[in-house]
Amino acid sequence: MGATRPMPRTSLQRHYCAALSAYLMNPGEGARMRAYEIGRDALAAGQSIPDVVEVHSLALQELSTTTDTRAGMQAVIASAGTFLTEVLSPFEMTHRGYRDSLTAWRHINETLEEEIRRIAYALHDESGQLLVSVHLQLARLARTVPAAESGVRTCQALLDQAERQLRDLSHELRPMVLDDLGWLPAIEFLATAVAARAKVPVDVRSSVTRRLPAAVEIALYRVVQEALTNATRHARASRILVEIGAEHGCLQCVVGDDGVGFAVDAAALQGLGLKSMRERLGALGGALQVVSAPGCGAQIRFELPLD
Amino acid sequence: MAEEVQILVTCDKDVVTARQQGRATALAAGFSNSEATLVATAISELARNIVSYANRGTVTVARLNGHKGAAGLKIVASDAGPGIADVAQALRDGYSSSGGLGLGLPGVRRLMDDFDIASVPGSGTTVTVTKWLK
Repeated sequence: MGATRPMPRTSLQRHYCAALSAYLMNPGEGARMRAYEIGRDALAAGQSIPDVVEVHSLALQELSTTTDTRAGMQAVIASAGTFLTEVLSPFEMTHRGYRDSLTAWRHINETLEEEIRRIAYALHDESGQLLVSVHLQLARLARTVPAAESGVRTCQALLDQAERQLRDLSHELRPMVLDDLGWLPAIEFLATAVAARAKVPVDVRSSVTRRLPAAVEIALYRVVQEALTNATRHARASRILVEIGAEHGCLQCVVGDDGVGFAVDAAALQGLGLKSMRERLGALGGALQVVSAPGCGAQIRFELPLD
Repeated sequence: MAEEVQILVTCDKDVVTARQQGRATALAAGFSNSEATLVATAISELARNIVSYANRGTVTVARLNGHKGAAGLKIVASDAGPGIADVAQALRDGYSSSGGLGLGLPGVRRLMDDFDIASVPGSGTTVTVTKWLK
């Protein structure tokens, strides 16, 4: 991508060709080590595996002219394969590193989600219970001290408000319907709440109804939640549609609106919470795309592997 | 139970010898060609550290015909160099020249099954890695 390349392709090409030629002549450990060094340098210089394979292929074409027998050609092809394995072996270290990071990333997400769930339940159940007790005590107080009645009523109204806020907060953190009934009822519930709050109809259509792996359900819910927040906050839409389907072992979801749209440029993409959506999806091997233009509404499209 | 070969490592030529020994031992133990290549890669990474930080050291390659049928290969890279002050940091990706690419010690750890490091600042470093035949 934007990495600096202290070893440009032409230089890599030249080194590669010389080293492969030396290896074909004398396939010893020294020549293999050179192959490994070339791979390591190419990796450090930001070259990709396809870059290296292309360089390999060009070098092989160049060197294949040195033999004109079929047996000679077969020997060259076999040796060149071994050479390429050596060149690519440093990439294996990087590859395994990324795999480890992905596992760690997933684990962090799960831990975070578990923590959020714990807080949501504590807010809903424990604090909720406490408020109920306060209500009862206040009612008793009002009975025994009639003079305090109007003050008590004010307290009760405030308590009701606090209760509502707790319930909303708890639901926002972790909708219990997600655990109890699954992702689709949770998203439908969310759509109803968003529609009521923003006074915009939000339709949910899904050809998938079965329960999904827990991590997928949470990611799906969160990304739809974020996308709906964007649509109601910025789009001035008259209608929002959430469509969910599955194809090729992938869950596909589109959150679209018929609002004002925007030019899809770097600046617009920064402010839309896309980073957190992408991170959430990326941890599960998913991807996200934004489709919009001024005056043409906007669509957030994403997919998640289902395996 | 273990046949060991120790190679003195002071320059690139010795690294070649250590790689060769590691590859031959891996193949003899029953590892595939590509696994043997990864063993050679791990040896290169370990030997590279010896040459660049300690100037000299040893790489010992041992074939393990362990009890209960566990078989594999053990590599011990040892030097009496400056040692590593912060081992945890050295094992993190992004430390030293390898940037975030996971080369060096983190890479070696991922190529092998078991990884153990003992380092004392001022008196040297010993890295012991094992790869088991599956």
